[in-house]
Amino acid sequence: MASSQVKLLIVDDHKVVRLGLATLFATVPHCSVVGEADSAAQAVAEADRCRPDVVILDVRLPDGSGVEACREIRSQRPETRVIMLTSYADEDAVIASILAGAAGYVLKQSNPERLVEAVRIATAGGSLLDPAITRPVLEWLRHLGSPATRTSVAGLAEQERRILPLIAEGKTNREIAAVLSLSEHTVKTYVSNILRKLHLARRTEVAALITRYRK
Amino acid sequence: MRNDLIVALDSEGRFTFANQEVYNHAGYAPEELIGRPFTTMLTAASQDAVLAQFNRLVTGEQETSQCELEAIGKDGSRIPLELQVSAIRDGTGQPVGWLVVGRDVTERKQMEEQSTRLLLLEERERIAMDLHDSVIQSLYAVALNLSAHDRTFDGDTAATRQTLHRAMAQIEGVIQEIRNSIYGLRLPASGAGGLRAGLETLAKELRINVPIQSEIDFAAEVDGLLSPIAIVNLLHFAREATSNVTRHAGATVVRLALTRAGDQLILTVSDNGRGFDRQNPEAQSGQGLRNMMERANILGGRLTIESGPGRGTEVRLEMPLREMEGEVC
Repeated sequence: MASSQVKLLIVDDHKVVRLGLATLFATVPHCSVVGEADSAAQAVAEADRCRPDVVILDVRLPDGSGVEACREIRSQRPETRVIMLTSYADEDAVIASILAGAAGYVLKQSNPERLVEAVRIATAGGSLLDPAITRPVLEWLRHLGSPATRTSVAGLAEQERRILPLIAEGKTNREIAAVLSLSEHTVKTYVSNILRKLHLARRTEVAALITRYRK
Repeated sequence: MRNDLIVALDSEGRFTFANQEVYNHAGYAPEELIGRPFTTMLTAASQDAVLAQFNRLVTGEQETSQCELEAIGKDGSRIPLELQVSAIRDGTGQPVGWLVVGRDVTERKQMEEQSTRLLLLEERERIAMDLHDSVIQSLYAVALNLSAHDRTFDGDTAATRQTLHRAMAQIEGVIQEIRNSIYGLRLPASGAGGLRAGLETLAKELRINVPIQSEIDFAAEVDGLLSPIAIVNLLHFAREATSNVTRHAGATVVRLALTRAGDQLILTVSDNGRGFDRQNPEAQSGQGLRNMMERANILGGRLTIESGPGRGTEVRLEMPLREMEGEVC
């Protein structure tokens, strides 16, 4: 096998989608599918086993979110590039990608060429996210996590607020653990809480923020 | 806890007595009512309902009769009441007056309304999830397959025909999934035709649209014993139960059975599908199950489910028929 082959791991809980993705990437000369998974837990295990270059990961998984799976995978091997796959693109998709440390997200749509192109960009180390959109989101995350911010809209605990800017910088769970002198397991729990609380806060806040920055 | 309203009427239907609760609830002091006709505190529709109760009791076949209606307080406010009406009889058994005991069911009605609202919100979420889960994923998969073929097309018509046929079969599958969703989402008929007619309509819809063979087994005649609201809720329940069968069970036959055991009505929906493991916690949490439990609650009934892997599933609803035959107004 040529060393320039891009190794792909496909994660989606719908069998027909996995089949379709495998069929598609079989026609892409420089890509080869080395593993499949249908849950967050299996995704992490498979990533460890087959050490893919790129992971294509559905945002919604039955046993947990794609975001947490992505963070776990990148904690194990930070050089892994992850593309979040989503059926519906709302501000959740953007934030999920940023919080996950993914290269970006791709919509499940009729023209899968975008997905093939996304794999190419991700492999080259690029990001799929439009900076015009990521900037306000990162700002918002930093603002939430800043000690100067007195009222925390999402009800974040002190420690969680300290973690936020590190997430926004793209640090993996392992790296965050090192910076804050915590165990990786503790960091994962905090991240889980943050995701849950942000999910509640995010809709109104971020929608407003993005609208404001767009103007 | 509130106390019951108690009034007594003479044979002409005029108030002869009203307890303190009537004043507390409706604002009428006893002296404002005594001698006046019972229609004073009732809407036109409610008046008819009460007259119907008198008619049922006059013959002496029943001791008491129940109904639900709305009374009007002195300030014009509406008070939902559950009434129990009995005849006061003389030595020869002739009714010489009426005793009416009323219970304020405002709280119960509010909770029913809230339940319904919550159900609606959850239903909307389920519709969104259905569309997301089944339809988008399946269509996306078809697009992936066609795209793969497009990328490598080399003029081989046999291979192309095979890909096209496979795509057509997949699309047909998606259309069927959408039909199943529509079946599950539609409102039942008003229930005006009775429970039996409603269930027969459901079975026919299943046979034509899903398609799945359906059998109905009516071992009891219950139409006269159910309020229109109860019938509508039962039809909702039946639709939910059968919809679950179409979506999950892989069944070819579904059977609806209606029986009566004393004062209990029993509706069972059973299928010959793959069943599920009752012990599995995941199996307990579906929206379909929650919907059925909610309906069972509203009906004051009990829901049991029997299933086992490979053994099909039986969903069973037991609900009380009114203790005394009564009408709901």
